[in-house]
Amino acid sequence: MSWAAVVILGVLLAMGAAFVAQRLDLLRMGGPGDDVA
Amino acid sequence: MWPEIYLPGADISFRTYQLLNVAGWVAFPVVGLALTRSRPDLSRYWWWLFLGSVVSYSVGSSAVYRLLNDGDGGPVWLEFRTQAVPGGYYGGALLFLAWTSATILACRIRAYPFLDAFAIAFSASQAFAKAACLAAGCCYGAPWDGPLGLAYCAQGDPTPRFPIQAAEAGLHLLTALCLGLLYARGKMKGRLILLLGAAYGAWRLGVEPFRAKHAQPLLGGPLTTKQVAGLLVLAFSLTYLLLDFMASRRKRG
Repeated sequence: MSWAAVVILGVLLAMGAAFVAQRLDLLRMGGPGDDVA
Repeated sequence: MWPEIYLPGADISFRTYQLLNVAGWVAFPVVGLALTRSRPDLSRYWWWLFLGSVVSYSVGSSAVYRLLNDGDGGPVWLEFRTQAVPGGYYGGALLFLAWTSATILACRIRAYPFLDAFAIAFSASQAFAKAACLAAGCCYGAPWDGPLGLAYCAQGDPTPRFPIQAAEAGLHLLTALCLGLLYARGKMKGRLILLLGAAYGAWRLGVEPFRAKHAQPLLGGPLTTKQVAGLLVLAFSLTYLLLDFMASRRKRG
């Protein structure tokens, strides 16, 4: 696989991971706490 | 043409390197504790997270280094020099991420206030670590004829080089100050780690041409592995921030 294909695939995967993480609200995982502004 | 800086002998530089690196490791918990002092729910876990991060980073980076070098030699575990290990950085970062996530889930602490404090403490710590690189002459810059070129003559290299370690130390410090200001004002709560990811990823892409050490092109392409890693972190952080912004607008509207 060429370097360009690896980079494009990597960026798409990173964006997909961000989409899933945001949907799961990962930054708010864990116990109870105050709200995010 | 330009005045060049000649750093002192390797022994003195190396001691300075070790001292600055230890200062970096100390800055991490000190800054973290200072930021979370009004939050006993966070500060009581801070040492556990800090010690865990040191161990997981060292073990992860050593493991990857040994894997890449057929188990040959490698750094001493828990050495304060893990950042200088080619390839080890990624192993350390991954194991650290796993440790932090596991701790956050097991201790049932809210992830984002800790990660906000972590982003600032990490940047402050890295500023010391990069100053240490400047003293030791590692992670040095590309040959440079402009102002403030650094020549590491004591190490047998008279070529003036771009003071990239000082530039990176300055960028880390600036990042720590900006994030600290946002933290103090209660702005972008829970998003500081993503801002760090976006800022660090972006300038990691930009500074690479000024670096000379460990520049490993990815599959023979024009980008180095560090640039690609920076690009991925940037893509992740920006996408998350954008989706979050759109979600909060929808909620308000």
